[in-house]
Amino acid sequence: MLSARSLRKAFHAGTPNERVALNDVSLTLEPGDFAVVIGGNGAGKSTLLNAIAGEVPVDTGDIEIDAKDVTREPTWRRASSVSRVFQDPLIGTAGAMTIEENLALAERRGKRNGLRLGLMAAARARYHERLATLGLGLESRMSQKVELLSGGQRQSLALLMAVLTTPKLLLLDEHTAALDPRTADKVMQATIAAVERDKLTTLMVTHNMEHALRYGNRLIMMMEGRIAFVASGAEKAALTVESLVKRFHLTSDRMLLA
Amino acid sequence: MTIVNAYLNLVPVTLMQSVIYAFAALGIMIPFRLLSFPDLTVEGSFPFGGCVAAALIASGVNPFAATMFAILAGVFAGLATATIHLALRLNTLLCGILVLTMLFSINIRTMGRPNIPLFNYSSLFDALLGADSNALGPRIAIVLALLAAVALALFWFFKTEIGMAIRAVGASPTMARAQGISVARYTLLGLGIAGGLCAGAGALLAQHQAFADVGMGFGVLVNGLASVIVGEQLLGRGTLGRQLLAPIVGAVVYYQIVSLALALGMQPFDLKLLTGLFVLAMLAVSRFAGRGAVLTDR
Repeated sequence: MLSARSLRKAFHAGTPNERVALNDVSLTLEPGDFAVVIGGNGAGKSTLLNAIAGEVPVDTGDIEIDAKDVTREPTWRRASSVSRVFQDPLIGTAGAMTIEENLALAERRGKRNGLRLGLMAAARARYHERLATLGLGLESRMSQKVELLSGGQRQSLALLMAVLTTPKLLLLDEHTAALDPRTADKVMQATIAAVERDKLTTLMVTHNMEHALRYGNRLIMMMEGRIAFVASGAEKAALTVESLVKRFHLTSDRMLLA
Repeated sequence: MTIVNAYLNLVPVTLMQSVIYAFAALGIMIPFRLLSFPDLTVEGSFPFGGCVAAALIASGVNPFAATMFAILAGVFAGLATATIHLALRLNTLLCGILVLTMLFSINIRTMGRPNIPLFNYSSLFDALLGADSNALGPRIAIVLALLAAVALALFWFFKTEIGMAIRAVGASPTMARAQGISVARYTLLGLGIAGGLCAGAGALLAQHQAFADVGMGFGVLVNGLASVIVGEQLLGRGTLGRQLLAPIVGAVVYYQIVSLALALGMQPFDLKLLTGLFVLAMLAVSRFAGRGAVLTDR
């Protein structure tokens, strides 16, 4: 479903501040794969996600999504097959628009826009049903502006928007990092439910080691712009925080988390 | 009593002024509010509309066609500002200043001189009203009907798929891109519409006062912004309908306040200072009362 080959990205190239954020990174996801990316600050995990989303153009290498070369396509063109939940709920949702308008935008992700009304009665009924599954009471506030919601509610909405139509590839960008622990767990539960229901191909970047070890069928650890370690299936299931710390001779588990 | 009489005499004149400037206030609200693109282009596109309409009418073009061309000219002014911002990533205000500065020369070139009197030519009002055309009442009725039609059309448009995409770009460009919306395309479209509204206002004013002048845009941005803010204080901006009505209601109320100030003996040249202070006070109030950012930037 996703095939990234030999991605390289250097920021400030040709200056003394040059920093190689991606150094020959390759990654393949089969349909239904759920890969979790961890790594310290500056390891390149956000750049990897941004490169796949289209926000950051790569210097060399190529990216195929659903057997289509999208390396030269901007984010908005890739959106027909890729959906994304951002770390900051304020960015991932349109605060000045209503809940139902946000869902309508998400339902039309990657489709051509015309002069039809953007929000129909039949769609409202669909959104009502989907919102009710979140258990936050948002289904009775559909015509309210999203800026009135709390961070956790906004992020739950952002997640629902990302999975409203089944994306070929779901990108989760530390999407629970800005939430309090309880809300983070709730949003994570909802994420897993959606991923399992629709067998979504998922790439998740996280700082939460517990989430990283518990969820997904592949763990990818990045260091200095490279993939340092990959564990899949049974090997991943057997991993613990202690074993990772030991393996990489890290002074503390903070180096994995931070 | 003379003050009251002086004010009452001004009411119809001021009302006419309001309904014309309401188009410009709408054209200011769209970039500022719906696109989060603070834009000064109106100071150039408003006189551009007036100058294009006047130049065409003075060369014998039908006033309706002249008005349409004036609107089209404003669309191009808006597109120019958007293109500069998108291509060079310059601050939106600077893009508008560049365009309005360049338009000053273009406006004089369009007319061939700094101003054109239109007293001897048939305006849109003459064409519609015939012999009665100098009566203020029918003129107000015509512009008000046009304003209602445009406001309704905008209300519908911003609820269509395309209109919602424009609002999404204003709400969060990153989110818009992630939903498959081209930020560039919809920024161009939004500023084009805004430019057309501002130039349309200029074309109406030139025909109403039978005179176009290259300096007719001076201050229109701050007056329009004041109208938008007054309207929002009165109506709020909780829904799309209120957001679209605010500039119109605001323009009517704001120009009545101005007219009252004039009736109280204020000199016209004092008004810019007063308007500036008024806008400043409104911005300060909403900042310190914590009612959210009055001006959001990209």
